[in-house]
Amino acid sequence: MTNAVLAATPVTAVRRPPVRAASLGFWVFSAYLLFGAWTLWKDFGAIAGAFPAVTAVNLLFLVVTSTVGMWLARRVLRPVQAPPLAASWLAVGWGALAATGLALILNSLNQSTLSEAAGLQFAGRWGAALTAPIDEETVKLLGVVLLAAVSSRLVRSAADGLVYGALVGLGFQVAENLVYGFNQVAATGGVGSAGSAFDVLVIRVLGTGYGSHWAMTAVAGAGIGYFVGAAGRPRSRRLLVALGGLALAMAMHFQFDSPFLDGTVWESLLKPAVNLVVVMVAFVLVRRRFLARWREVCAEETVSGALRAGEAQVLSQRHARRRSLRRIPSPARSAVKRLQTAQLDLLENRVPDMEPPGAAEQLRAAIAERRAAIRWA
Amino acid sequence: MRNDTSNTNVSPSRARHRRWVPPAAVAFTLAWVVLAVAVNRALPNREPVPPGDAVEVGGAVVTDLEGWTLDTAASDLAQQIVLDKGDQVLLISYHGFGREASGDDAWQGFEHLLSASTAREGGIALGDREPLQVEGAAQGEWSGLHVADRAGAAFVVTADDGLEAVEGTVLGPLQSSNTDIDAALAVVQSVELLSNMEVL
Repeated sequence: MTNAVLAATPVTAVRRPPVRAASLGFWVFSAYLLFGAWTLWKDFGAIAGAFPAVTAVNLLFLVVTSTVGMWLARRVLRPVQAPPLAASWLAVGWGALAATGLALILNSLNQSTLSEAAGLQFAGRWGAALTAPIDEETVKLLGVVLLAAVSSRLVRSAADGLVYGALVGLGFQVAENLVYGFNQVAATGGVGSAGSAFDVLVIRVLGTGYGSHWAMTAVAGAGIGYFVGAAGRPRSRRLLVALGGLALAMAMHFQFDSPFLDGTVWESLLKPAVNLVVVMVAFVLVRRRFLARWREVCAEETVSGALRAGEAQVLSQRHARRRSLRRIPSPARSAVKRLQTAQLDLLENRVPDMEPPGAAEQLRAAIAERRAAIRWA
Repeated sequence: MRNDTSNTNVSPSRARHRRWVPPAAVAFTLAWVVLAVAVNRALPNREPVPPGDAVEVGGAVVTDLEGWTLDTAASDLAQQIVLDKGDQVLLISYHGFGREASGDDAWQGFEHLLSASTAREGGIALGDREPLQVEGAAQGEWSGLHVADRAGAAFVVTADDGLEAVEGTVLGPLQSSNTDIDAALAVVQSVELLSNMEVL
């Protein structure tokens, strides 16, 4: 077994947190979160207080679905490594608070405009399908755009955009479940509302949840990630991909909310399944592109000396990194982990191929510094 | 030397994006909401109900609506309609309970819901419940109602099977006459629950 000890050389390389409160983007993001929380409280605070059993059922579903959903999204949807936890919470928070608050306002205005313009019959049948895709997909995607402004380390590729989009959509989905749970109180006239809310939430989580908002926003988010990350491509092409992603997400939402197949068993089976297929295709394409570029960068950095033989393979997989760290005695484990972190930073920075040439040199120097802090025996 | 492995070497164009994107997002959101409000206000949101026309709300039909105006902005045929006549505002909502409920259960649920939805206005004051004859339903009840500076009536009309109900309020100025309230309750008396009609 390899034995490693930490040398006395101090490690000077410092890694900044991915979410920095110093940025304007962070403060604007936070203001939206507060606004969304206030809107939700204004609309549902009184009902939540008056019907505590419904509130308890709602909160139970919210906690369970957001925890499980967030774990799955971070574990499955991002190749190589999960997005930072703080940024993941910001994304979920955007969906749950800011996007939901904005959507409540815009949906209400636009639904009533449609009723006025096209009549109540038409609005009743088509209102959700015509207003929600535009309102909700746009406000959800605004979260991914703002995340890119919070820190340049968050959205650097289509793979990042996809996972943050999924997290924003997940937040929106769990908050929308909450809204539907409270709306059940009104729908049932305050009679047996907790049981009724439970039934609705079970259908929304287990019946349609697998192909709902997370899938739509993941597709739109991948477009934003491509726009931000594919710096070497023409701007018009990047814009086309970003707008195409948003349009596809809106189309997914439209078919989900449309009255087609209404009242049939196919409605709850087919509509989310279509969205799941679309997001899986997007995921496979994004992942393949990401990993192809990742392997290129790994090969180049092996030549540059930032990575040693075999390290690329270890770095590229979560369980391989964990396994390699487990083999190292604990005094040196944290130093090796810091080395891996620096190497991952270099590779993640270079994958989008958009950093200035000098940046990679500094990152390689940091790796050399961290490697020197470990004396192998 | 402090050596940052991540953030110090951002390309100038990305640094610029990070400065203009947040204010642009705020401007975009504000512009969108202002536009949505402007379009909404520019369209007529009142539609007189033609004589003899019936309006279906959820699983119920309201027939006697002559002289009332439908608020299309606030109405949703799946669940509730809002009508007005002079300074009286009549809200009729349809509820499916998902289980059998007695008239008392329905009334208490409605009272609880009404209290919660008017909490910011100081809640409600309801008078004694009185029977309301509704041909298309098993049971109807109404009572006087006060909400802040408005007065009127609340009503609950339940179906034979106890699975659904039509509920609502009529509210106007404090000095509203009994005639105003009676006119609104006449609309409620014209309610027919579709499940009852199917039984017949």
